[in-house]
Amino acid sequence: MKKSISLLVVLALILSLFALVGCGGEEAEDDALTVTVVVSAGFGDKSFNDSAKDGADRLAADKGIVVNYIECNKEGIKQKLMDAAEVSDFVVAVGWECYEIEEVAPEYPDTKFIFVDNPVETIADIPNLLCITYAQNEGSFLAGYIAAQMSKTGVVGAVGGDDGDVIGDFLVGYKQGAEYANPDIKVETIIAGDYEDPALGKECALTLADKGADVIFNVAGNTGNGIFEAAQEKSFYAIGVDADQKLTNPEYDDVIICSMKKEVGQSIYDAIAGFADKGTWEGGKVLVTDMANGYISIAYGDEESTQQVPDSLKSEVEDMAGKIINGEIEVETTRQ
Amino acid sequence: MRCAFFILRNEMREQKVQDTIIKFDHISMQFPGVLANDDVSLDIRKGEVFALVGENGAGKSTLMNILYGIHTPTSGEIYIKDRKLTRHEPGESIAAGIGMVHQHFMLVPSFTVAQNIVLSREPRKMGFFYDLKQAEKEAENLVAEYGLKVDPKATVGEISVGLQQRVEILKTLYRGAEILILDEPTAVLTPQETEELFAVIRRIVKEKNMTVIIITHKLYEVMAISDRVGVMRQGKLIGVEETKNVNERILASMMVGREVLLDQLEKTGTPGQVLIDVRDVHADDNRGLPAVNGVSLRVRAGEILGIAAIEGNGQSELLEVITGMRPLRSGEIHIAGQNASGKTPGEIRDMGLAHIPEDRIATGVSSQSSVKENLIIGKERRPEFAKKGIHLRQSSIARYASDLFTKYDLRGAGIETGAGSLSGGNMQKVVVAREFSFDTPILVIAQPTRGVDIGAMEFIHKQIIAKRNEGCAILLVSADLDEVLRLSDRVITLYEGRVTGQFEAGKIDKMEIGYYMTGNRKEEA
Amino acid sequence: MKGILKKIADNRNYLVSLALSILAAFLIGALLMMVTGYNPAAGYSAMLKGAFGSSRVFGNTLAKMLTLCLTGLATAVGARAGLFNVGGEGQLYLGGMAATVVGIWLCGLSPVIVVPLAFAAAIIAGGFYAWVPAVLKVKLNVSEVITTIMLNSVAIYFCTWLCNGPLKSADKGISGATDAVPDNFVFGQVIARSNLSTAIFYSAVIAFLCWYIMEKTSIGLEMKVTGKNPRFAFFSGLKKDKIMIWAMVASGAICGLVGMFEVYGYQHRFLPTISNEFFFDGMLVAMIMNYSPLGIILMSFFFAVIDIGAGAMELSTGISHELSDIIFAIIIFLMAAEGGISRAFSARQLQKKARKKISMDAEKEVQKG
Repeated sequence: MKKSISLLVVLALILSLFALVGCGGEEAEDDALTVTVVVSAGFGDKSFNDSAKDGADRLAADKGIVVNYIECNKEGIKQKLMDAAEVSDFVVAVGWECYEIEEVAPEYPDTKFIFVDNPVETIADIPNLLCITYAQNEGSFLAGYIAAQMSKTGVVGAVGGDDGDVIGDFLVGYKQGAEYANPDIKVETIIAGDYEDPALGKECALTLADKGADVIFNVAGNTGNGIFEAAQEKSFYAIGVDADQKLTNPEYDDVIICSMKKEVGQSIYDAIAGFADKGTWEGGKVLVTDMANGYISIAYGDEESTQQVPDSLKSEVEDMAGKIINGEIEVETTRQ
Repeated sequence: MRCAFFILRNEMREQKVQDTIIKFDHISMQFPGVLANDDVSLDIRKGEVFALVGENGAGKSTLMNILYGIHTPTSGEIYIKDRKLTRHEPGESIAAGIGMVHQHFMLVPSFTVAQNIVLSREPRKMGFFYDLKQAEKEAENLVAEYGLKVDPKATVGEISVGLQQRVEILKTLYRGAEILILDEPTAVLTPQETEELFAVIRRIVKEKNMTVIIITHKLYEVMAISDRVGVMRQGKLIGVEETKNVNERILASMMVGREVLLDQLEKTGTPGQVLIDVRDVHADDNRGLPAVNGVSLRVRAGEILGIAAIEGNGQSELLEVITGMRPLRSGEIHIAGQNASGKTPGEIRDMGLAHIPEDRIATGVSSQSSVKENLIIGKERRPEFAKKGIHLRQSSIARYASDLFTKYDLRGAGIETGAGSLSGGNMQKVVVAREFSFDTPILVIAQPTRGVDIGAMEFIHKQIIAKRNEGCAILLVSADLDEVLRLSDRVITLYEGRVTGQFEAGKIDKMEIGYYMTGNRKEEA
Repeated sequence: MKGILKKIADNRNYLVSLALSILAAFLIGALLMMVTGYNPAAGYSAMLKGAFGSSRVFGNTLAKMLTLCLTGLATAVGARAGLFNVGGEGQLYLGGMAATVVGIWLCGLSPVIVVPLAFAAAIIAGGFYAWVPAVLKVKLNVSEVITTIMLNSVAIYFCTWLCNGPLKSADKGISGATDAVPDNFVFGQVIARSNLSTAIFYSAVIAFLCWYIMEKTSIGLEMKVTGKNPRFAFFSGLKKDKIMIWAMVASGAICGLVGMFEVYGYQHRFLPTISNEFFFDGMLVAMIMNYSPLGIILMSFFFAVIDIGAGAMELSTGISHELSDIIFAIIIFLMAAEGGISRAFSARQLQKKARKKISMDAEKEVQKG
């Protein structure tokens, strides 16, 4: 008897709790745009996913757009895309694991979808889906060029996240650029197989260093952050990726000589801002962003950063960039 | 003249009151689900040998454990030498002069006698180092003072059980015990050792004015050694009598609450063919040492062969080998003509054998299952209990269990009660009920009434004899010599894994068997 | 009906503890929400909406439930016979992989042949992978807890290697996974847009079989007795070894089928991330519910609601979905303590009752004079 009474008292307390606190609500501006960024893994990689986040954050700051984030951690991606679609005007999917967006987008015709980095086969039939791909091979060409010029051992390296097309695109450009600078250059590559394991990245970098590589290119997201630690330990150079990693990883400023910037965040910003400001939306196609339209470049940090690359090399690189843009140099690619 | 008489009587009364060394004042002890002691008031006199008897579960061990400080009574007070116990810890009782020798000894087998005696109160050199020499000296002093002969330097694991018990007693004396509590002391002793123990008790009571309380259920021992006896039943103290004023029959009926007949049971029929045939069996114990060293025996239909042996002489291992619970090293066993050597218990049961094991708690029942489930195991695939052998017919099973419940006089519980919470006697009856209801021609029975109250013991004995009269071949092992002699047609004695003697039941006496049980052979005069 | 009421009455203490644990967990969750500046009412209603709000999410809830339920039942089957199968994750992987391989290699044949073969493959793979530790335990007394945990890693890495190596999909957009199982083999969707496939029907059958065998058959009784008292089982002539091995094999087979359901019912291909410790979640549910089949079925629904609901709650209110993990943890923690607490509690109660009775009896004696 006593027990039942105490149970009832507890229940009553809970209900009153809800009643008391129940009068808070969210005042959402109904006319503000909502954007949900869905990453297949998680944030904190200081390159790819974080770049997307930066772009979305700036959208929120500049345009008053409401931005949500969903980190899937590789689980239940399709359902999370649907969850996002049900409550947002824009869904930005980051990571190849979001490929089911191909099935989700047609189900939610009122929501616009942006899929980063990967083309979708039936894109032409999906007017509310925009795929953005990047000419990372072009930037990687320049990175390879710099690496070969900076290398004293004649061996340069790269650590890749997986053996898919996108990473392949980085690597093919890198190799070509290195050989362009020095036909006898040796390019050693290791595929880590994981984007979330810095310790593994460090291991791979040390292995490459043992093979003589003294400049190593990070093409492995969060795993790649281990390369920088190895670079400091063994005194070799590293090249960042996706973001200006001299700025995102200032503690490694002395070993990162430059970064191959892939403006994921900017591309997202531009696509959505374009709609927010002017109502333009070019769905149903694959947008290729490259050096020409400014989304691929080489970054060297800012005034506070230590510069390892001599100015003479930097101006050579600028020349090369110009040649790539006007077509004089054709960089190989894995993209169709 | 009359005045003198009254004065004398009052003085004696006062003396008696002064002589009270332990006083239980309205002691009650409530455990979850059972009132173990129900308002017990009892005085123990200094210098007496007091026997506390009762069926299992009557509350005598609980009462003594309260005295020893293991339990805090739910209500009531205890006075030792007129001082009330307040903290209810063993430390307090030991300090007050209580010493207890439990049924299961608490000795370290690898230590010497002296080391065991001084355990936890070791004499120290310079306050820190263990002074072994001093320990041995103190042990020798105790031995001399109390006349309990045992070698202080001997390793406890290697001396006999009787001597181990002496070490236990010496332990209590080392701590200055004036009151000794002995819990079922003769359970593990041979008849000779029992006599020696009684001599020791008489001596320490007379010469050192010690008080001894014996917890026992062996009524003839009560008659042999005690001055007064208290009978407990279902938590209550039924009565206290001067031993010289009672006999075994009176005590038994006090214990049970009704008349109990302890006469011989009627045996009919003549033995038939050999159903258990054991030939030169060798087997090892759990440590890998030889336990059964070439035992051969035969049991016929309609007879009971009893094995008389002290615990640890291979009889447990022998039974386990016969019933398939233990592998045999060599030899052969035939059950009802079929070769049962090395087969599994399931296969041997199929040959027509049922088994009441020595350890009912670990082996005889499934403690966490209900009585009903326990009764049905072994029969659960029969068509009357499971459709097509698979789908259980719950109502048939319940009915069957209830029938057995009534037939075997199970009390104080229902068929859904967990078997682990039954009293010793009831639990044993469940085992007997299950095994006997297989109606097999062969029965192997170990320690059928160990820890079982006298009423249940009667019942089980009747059941065993009934099975014998129906023509079953029964192999019986028991540490209770009286039980073996009472039930068996023939008796063999076992010592260190060998058969040392064979007898017809009517033609031996206990002392003689005792010799054979210890490996001796009595010289013909 | 009477039977159910009786069962509830018998297990009254346990059920009350369970209800109180759940209540306490929700209260603490509400407290956490308030402390971090969120509104508990909004949070919990978002959670409920996230689990029941649309047919899609309800389908997801049911899909999650069936995974938890089957893995929980698999644990219970093993535990009933006294064995702890902690290797369900590995068995799940192998079962799923076996079924995937059958589907891919036999892609030309009719589904009527292939799908049953895939079932068989999953059962055999999962069952065999549990058979090895079972035999080691029964014959050599090697702890099955250790062997099964270790074998998990072996299975998971093996399947990952297959996904990245020999069985790697030729499909360009897919990295580190196998080809898709042909569409005519995979399970149909039961609720549109959700994760729920016809696997729910197969799961219901399996759940019913588990419950039936464990509770209503002679085999279940033998398993129960073997699990609680192996020596007694041996003594009574039960084929203890056989029972234990078959229980483990059944447990592994069920986990293998869970793997197959994840592939055929949801992912439609095999990924190294086919399971995210699904088995361990189910195992926890089983342990909380004391391995009772009915309890597991009910509790897995409850857990599924919280799990799915929490994801949606995060999206609409911003409350971290890890709250669901906190709630689970508190329930588990309190239920683990339940045994000790309820024992102490009932002992105290009986003591009080006894004292009362003794003093009442004493009074009666006094009155009688």
